[in-house]
Amino acid sequence: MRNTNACMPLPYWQLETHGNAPALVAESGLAVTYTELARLADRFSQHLDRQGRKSLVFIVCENAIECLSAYLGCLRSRHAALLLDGTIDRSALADLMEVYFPGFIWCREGAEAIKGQPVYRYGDYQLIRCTAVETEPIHPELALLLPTSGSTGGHKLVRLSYDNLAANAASIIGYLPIDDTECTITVLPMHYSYGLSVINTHLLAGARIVTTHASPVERRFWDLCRRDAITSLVGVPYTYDIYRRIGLERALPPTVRYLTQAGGRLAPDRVKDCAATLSRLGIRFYVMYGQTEATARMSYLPPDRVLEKPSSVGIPIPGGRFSISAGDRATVQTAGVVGELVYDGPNVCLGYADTREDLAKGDENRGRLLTGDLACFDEEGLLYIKGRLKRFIKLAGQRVALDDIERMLGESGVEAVCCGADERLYIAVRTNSDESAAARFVTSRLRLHPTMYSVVTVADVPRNTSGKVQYQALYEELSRHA
Amino acid sequence: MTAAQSNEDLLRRVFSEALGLPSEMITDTLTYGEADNWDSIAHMALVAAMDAEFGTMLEMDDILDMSSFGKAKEILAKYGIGF
Repeated sequence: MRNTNACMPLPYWQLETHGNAPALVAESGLAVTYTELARLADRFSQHLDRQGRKSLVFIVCENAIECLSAYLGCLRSRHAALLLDGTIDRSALADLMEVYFPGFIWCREGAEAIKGQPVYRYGDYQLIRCTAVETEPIHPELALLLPTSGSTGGHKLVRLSYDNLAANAASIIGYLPIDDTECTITVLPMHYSYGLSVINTHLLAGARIVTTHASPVERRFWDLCRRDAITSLVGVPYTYDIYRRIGLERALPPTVRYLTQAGGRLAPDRVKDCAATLSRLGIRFYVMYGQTEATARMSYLPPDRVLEKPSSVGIPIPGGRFSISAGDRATVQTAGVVGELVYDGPNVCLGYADTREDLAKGDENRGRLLTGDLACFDEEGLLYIKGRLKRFIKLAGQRVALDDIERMLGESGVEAVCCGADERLYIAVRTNSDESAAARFVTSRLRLHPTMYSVVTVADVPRNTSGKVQYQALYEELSRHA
Repeated sequence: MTAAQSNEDLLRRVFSEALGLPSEMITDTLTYGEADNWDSIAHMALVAAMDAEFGTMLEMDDILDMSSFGKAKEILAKYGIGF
């Protein structure tokens, strides 16, 4: 089933297909054509060669042509890239370097004191050839590494292949109305799988992308939307809080045709409100579901169903298939049965990486992803997410592993237990001094805004007879007092 | 203390809490995107806290234009809150 390459279009990094059509538009208004973008990508990648070996390149990303061309250069030359948050702190970057031994790092000049030799510059970015020599091989099909979590550090990465990236982009433009008349603007960072999928699909379609660092709380962002007559806009639940608060009726330019939402659950009444507002404006609204482990997207709710079924994440994307794993039984597609959601499709990642040696591994998942999400179907086959098996939550669209936070707090000398739900993290500690230490840590190291978390001093954490923390009971107690 | 002074103190406290910055750092030139912690998440928390504290319902233009502490005072002044 995975060898469907014959019917797939050229991958999106074959930029030449779209000739002199504009690809990227900078804040300055400067447009870069697909031909020029291909040339910039190749100029970048010609500096990567180390005697014909496949290298790992760290790209410290911002939504700018310097980083997009570096990313595309890696794909075109079949070097592997790891995309990192542009605001990553030095210690987290150093940790990743120690684990993965990149051959090269693409970052802002002067931003980091990285051991190595600058070999190429473009804009205010530089390519540093690292001193350490890469000895461990990289699998030929490994195209891209993405972090599994947002700001919680950790060095677990998702391994994506060239086929994963090409297949997901092709599938998405099979259901979203993206063609070469479309223009979007970067709302989400490119190191984040949803943000990256917006970029990939627009490149595949030969559409335009306005690159900006501005956020929807800034006038500059909406000025760019108008100047370049954008036709679509995306967002995670937190972005939709902004859209709702400022009012989309006034903010959206008349050229917008559709909006998409993913990156965590948006409450059904919010979905309904937003869909109703957009429908009055003649704008389609796509609620979608996905994970980085599935490259980005796994499902979408057809926009004509959103008012009627606002709590559903819809149907699988073209080429994908869902089933529910219920207890010991084989996977089922029966309505009403809640179990772990299983996804099959060509966009399922190769596996994870925890060490440099893991980069040599091939496809461990073979097209099947155990999502860790609990879900069920209704009678029509529409999908509903009911909860999570894994201990993570989403804050501002970014995955936060609760066990990672506990571990990191432990390493900084704070004994804590973490629980929570999307958009709210609770940290239970035993002493007042731990409470202030935990708050400092979360604000400075995880960079979470105080409205996203609470640190609570508790006398006792509920445990079962074998001493295991009862997270659900703790969550209920803490959220009641919040 | 005059009403203007107390409004300024109140707004400074709202900023200090929403941005997680000490109040002596909250000056008229404190700017979105430049000040540590003042990102889009903090901005929305700030808007919500100002609405709650001053009984306003800031509009789109107010939210998009509120790029500094000084600007926030100008915006609240439109709603009859004196500085």
